[in-house]
Amino acid sequence: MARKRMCPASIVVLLASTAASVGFAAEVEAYGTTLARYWNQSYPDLSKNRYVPLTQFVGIDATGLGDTPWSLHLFGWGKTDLADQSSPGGKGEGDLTFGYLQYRAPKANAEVQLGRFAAQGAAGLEMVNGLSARADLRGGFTFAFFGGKPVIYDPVGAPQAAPRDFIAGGRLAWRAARYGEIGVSYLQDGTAPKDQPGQPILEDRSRKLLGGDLRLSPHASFDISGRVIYNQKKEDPLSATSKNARLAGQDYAMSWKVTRTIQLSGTYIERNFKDYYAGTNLPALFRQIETEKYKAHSGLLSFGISGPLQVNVDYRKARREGNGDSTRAGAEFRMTSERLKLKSGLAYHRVTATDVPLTGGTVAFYSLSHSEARLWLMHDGGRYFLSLDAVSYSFDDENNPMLNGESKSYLGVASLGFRPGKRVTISGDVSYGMNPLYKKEVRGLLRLDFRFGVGAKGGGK
Amino acid sequence: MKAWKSSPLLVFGLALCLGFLSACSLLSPETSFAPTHPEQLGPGRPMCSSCHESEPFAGARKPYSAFDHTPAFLKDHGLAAGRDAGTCASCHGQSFCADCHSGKTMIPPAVLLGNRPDRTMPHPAAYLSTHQIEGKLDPARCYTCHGRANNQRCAACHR
Repeated sequence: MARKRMCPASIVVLLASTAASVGFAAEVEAYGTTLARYWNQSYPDLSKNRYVPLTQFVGIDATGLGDTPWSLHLFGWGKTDLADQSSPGGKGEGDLTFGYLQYRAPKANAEVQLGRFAAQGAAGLEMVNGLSARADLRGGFTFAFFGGKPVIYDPVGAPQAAPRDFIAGGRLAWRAARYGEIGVSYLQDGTAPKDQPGQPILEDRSRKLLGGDLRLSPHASFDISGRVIYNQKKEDPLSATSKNARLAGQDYAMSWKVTRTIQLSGTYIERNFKDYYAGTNLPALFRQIETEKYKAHSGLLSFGISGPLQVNVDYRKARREGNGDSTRAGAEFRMTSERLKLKSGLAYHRVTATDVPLTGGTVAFYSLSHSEARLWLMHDGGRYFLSLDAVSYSFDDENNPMLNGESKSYLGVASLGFRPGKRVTISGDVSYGMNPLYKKEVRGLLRLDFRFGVGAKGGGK
Repeated sequence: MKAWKSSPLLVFGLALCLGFLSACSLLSPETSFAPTHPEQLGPGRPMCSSCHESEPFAGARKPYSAFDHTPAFLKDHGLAAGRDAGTCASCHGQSFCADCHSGKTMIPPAVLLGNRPDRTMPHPAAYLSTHQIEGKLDPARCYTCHGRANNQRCAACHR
């Protein structure tokens, strides 16, 4: 499928409006990252590929346009391949990740965004070309709304779909100061296609989701949150299970700061595949099986949450009805030393899973169980900085058809950087690894980060 | 009557329009929270409650401790971001979120930020070789970001 490109007139308008806006701004910050990458991949069939993509990320934040609360935010990237094609979109491609004008009112946290932006607050995170607004109301109420055309990334070779003509959503909530919040949200993404005589039948990828969320915090140290999402897309009335609203998923999270340094948290999630995947672009992958569900509960105990030494012990037990039970358990140790200007981490996790049936293979079942270990460290001496990161996987069953007979996988990344000035950073990464897809993988990367102007949020966090 | 039943969005839109019409009288008189944090933050993950004791965060109407960047907060930050994106924006620019949550991420975050192993990445190094196993265990987690509209990379192999 041909890639849609911005027409020259749009580019001229965008650049002209950017230049004009920046000229009137009280604070302007331009930032970006230039990446030159190189890597070789050797495949199990002995073929090899060499990739040399150059990528430029660039962004502009211009605030106080004309001494008003308006601001402009742009961010995008472009890539060109100097050797083999490195991504499905072609040897040269690019994208405007976001670009919007924003108004922030001095009262009520009122905010308006116009352009391409990330919309949150309804039933998920959506990229939209359109308008969004939010504000706090009297009496503890708050509302958020967005609408426009969804940002579409054409799937390569995907079957023809109904046009996703619009997307809109909103959330209305009430907040009790300190103690909690309750909200209701709605999202509609596109409309169901209408059959036209003589035309191919289009897949219905529209979504209609109704959500509800709750947060309770009887004490500053204790917090419990929940969210439910119902699928409201109309079903075939002849279906035996036809209902108006069906539970697609629910999430609950609890956290309790036992002391200033110890935190206990837990989650419970449930997904009903038929309704959770309603509207997918990949029905072959995200199958809407009527009876299949996924349920999981997890716990995390953290020691030293605000100190230089931190230990996290975590556990998750999950059940996917089609594939059986799995557990993931492990621990992570993190250390920060301001004196040595050092951060480091060490983690080990074990995943134990029920054997999965294999249809038409050389074995009847295969195992998904594996172990993973990771060690990393960073030293930032100001003018110079370096980091090391090593991760390894050990798989229980090399008969797993996904593993190409390999029982191990590992990757190591070493990075060294230099700051010639406050606003510019140059760094280089080298990585070496082996995994079931690539017998041997060697990568090199050169990175130039820059940030000019004023107004860095949170010190560049 | 049928149109009302078939499109809750229409009802929702009309309700919002009515809300806008009376917006001036409905808006909260509280001052908006600062668009940027007034002081540079120290290294490491910030704990808001270490400086802001017990006062509620104006606008968010919840204690600062609710935004402490504990391991649990980082793991489940989606719920908080959905409710209080403006609070996140006091410290994080939109591009910070886009490092991981852009619809069409050109470079895996673990490669883009290979010099920042301290940041939690959605797809750690060599994830391509293990994603099939993770997908078998929990495909719904993939669907949080992939499989709706931004699936160009998935569709290259999964047809």
